[in-house]
Amino acid sequence: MILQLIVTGISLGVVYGLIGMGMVLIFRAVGIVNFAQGDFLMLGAFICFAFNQKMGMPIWLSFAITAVLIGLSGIVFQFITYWPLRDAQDKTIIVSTLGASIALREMTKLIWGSTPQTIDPLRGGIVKIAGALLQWQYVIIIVFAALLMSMVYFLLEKTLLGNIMQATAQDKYAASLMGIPIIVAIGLTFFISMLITGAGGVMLAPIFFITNTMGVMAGVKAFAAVVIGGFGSVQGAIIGGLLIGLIEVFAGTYVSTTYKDTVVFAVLIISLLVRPQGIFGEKISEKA
Amino acid sequence: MLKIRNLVANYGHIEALHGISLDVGNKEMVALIGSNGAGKTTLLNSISGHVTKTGEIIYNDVDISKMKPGKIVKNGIIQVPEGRHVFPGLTVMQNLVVGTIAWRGLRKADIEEDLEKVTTLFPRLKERYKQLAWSLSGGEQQMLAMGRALMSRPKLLMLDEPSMGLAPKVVDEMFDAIVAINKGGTPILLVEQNAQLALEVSSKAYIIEGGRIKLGGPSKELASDDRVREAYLGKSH
Repeated sequence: MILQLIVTGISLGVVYGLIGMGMVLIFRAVGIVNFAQGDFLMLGAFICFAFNQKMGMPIWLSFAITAVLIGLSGIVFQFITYWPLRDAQDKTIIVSTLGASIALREMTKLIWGSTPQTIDPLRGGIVKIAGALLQWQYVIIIVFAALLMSMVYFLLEKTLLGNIMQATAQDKYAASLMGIPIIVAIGLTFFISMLITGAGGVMLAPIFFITNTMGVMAGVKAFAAVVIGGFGSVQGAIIGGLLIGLIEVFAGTYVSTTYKDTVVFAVLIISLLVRPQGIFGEKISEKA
Repeated sequence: MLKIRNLVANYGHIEALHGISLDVGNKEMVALIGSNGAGKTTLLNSISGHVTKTGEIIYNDVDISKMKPGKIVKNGIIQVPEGRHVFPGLTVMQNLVVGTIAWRGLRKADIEEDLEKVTTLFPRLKERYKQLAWSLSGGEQQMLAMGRALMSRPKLLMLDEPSMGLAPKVVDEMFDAIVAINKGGTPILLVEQNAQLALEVSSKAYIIEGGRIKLGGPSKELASDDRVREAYLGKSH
């Protein structure tokens, strides 16, 4: 029982961590919090639904196409909500992402309606690990999210392309002096950020129903994960996400399903009181 | 190789440079001297394409005044900004390798070769290879900024206040390196508040005041000019 709860908690947590990582990438690149991040999770679920359920494509193929499409939509999103406003104040851009969030939700409703939908799991059925019966989907989520996270880490730290993206995020003036095309580096960051978020949506979709508001709560929880982990820190987002996923599942089982979200946000408030800079908060202030 | 004629630069509606003309010859080290706010950095930012401007900037017979920053860098004009601007969250090596973007350095052997050259000039960078740039001392950060620019294979190097905030001993080291780079054949446009030092190492200098060139000529002549001595070298006659 405990093992099942832990696996479920971790699998929710890695998805929150994945979305949080997406938020952090954008935050570091352009200095704003994207309030439409969760809606790209929702969009990912719906696009995959269209390929998988409406067009009858196998789930893994739908997943791959969705991931790329969502990444590309991130570039479009960047050109609409950020680039024209890049010289404006941060709060202007934040409001613009809020607007995009509402637009995305309503647009989805117009296209796919408001009936909750579902898609195939990446792998159905049950697996027995260490004497516990676990749903394959949860195990797959953990493995796949971890894989995606490592790939992003590898890209950022070990490749020239990733170093260029980081350089642009850290100092745009110096990056431009080095001849880096800023718009390409930022566009690429949005691509990756949305790709991992959309992938999170596809992975969560078989567990929850797909609705046009499914991204709201997931987005808020990912934001909470980023805050708890220390704003701007990728490791922080992952650790924070895992923490929130586990708290959610354990609170749902031992307190009540109705109040599980209340417990999650109570933990957020407590962590803000005790450690406002977050778990990995200090490193950021040093880096700034 | 660089010929600037009647350059007028604007920040929004404020005119910062009011018609600057100057020349940098092949393999020459040219100093730009002036007080805070005189327009030295604006001039460099205009050349590198970061300020809106009118006038001519002729580089190897091509007008680059309308070019985008990326294209200017590709042409070999590399600016080391004031205040170093190293990438704080990248390691020393990552900072250096980012410099190769200017010539799209993709062959590992080419990059290794350039890294070797740069670390021979600044051995301390090699000792700090894996360290994140924010953890370096001011002098090391300046070396890193210079090294990063050298990785871009500059054909014209523009240095903005390379001595700023450094201990005298480190300043000496830095200027030894600058002279060595110039001797190696790279022309340098040097912006420097330390007028004495700038006049010592350069062959030609311009005095810039309030966005205009006040004086220009061989550095030796300027160093003995009474007006320069009084205003910039702190010596009375």
